[in-house]
Amino acid sequence: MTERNDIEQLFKAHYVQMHRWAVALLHDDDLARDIVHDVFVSLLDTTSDTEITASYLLRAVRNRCLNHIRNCEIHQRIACRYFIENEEYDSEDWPDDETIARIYELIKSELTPQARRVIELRFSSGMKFSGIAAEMGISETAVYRHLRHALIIIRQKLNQNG
Amino acid sequence: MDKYDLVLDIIEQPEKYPSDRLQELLSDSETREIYNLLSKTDSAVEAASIPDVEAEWEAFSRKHIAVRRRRFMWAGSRAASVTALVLSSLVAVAVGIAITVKVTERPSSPTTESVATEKHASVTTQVKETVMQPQNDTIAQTAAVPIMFENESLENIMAAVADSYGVEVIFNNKEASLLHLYYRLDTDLTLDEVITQLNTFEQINIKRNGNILTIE
Repeated sequence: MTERNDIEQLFKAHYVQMHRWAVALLHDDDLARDIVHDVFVSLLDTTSDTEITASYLLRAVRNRCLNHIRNCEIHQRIACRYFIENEEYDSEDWPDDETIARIYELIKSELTPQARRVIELRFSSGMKFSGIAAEMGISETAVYRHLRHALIIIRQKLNQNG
Repeated sequence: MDKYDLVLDIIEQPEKYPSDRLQELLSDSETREIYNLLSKTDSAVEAASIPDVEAEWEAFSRKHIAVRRRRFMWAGSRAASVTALVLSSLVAVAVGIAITVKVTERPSSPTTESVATEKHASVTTQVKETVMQPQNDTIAQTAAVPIMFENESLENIMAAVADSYGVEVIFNNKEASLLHLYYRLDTDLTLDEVITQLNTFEQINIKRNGNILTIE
């Protein structure tokens, strides 16, 4: 039985990273939060005395997220931008903090503010191209071109560094 | 239409493509690479927002770790704790007396009853004067050992209540069964008293219907 104070300590120490992993996998903030909370709820009931480490918690988050994704068929995967095959999560060892940080850096340093905005609206807000065009006062074609260019740059730079 | 165009079209209008066509298109390694990169870019953007950990902990502990209602802050109020002690000693004494009478008197109902009430009355007056002195020998014979629950789920606590009082427990609220609390189950108390105690917790709402307890 894990004591309340221990749970609080673990929660405050590891929540941010657990949440980041859950969001990186699920692309959904609410779902990510539910899963992280679920992991801590399960700690309330454990009777084992094994030490709860950061890697234990992260593995728990990852497993629950992959279970969620496991049963999605191809259209759902594309709608949520999940990898097409389950094994890809293992072969890519995803999520990996380093790649996430690198891509985020590239977004900030290599893209125009407009391209950044398009990416935010498309992925964080889930807007369709038409919605983004209206929001930014540009044509849909322009939206599309920004996103395409962004992908080309990111791919180029990532492959450059091996 | 090059492969970048294709990936962008797929994510923008997936319904245009039947499943096997999607599988086919995405089996090309370059197309798959661009799609996966798009997926990771999505991850990077969304994972950048940092949650408010304090707020999340507040929400978590409020939901899953039960808190007593403020007006029943036993620890805080001296008068309340003295009252609590007196009440429980009275109850303990009454229980002790009742059982002692049962043991020593012959079971000829009418006489026993009247004697019992008389004795009870006299003892009650005694207790009023000497507040903190329950009859220790009778208590030792009859008092049950209270059960301490430390951060235990309500589900388990109610199971113990069910066993101790021979009642059935039904959870209409599954979330309530996941609540964890620190609670001292004193089986010397009546079932209704135990229910009252548990109902002082913010998120717990137990209703009794004869021998069935329902948690709403």
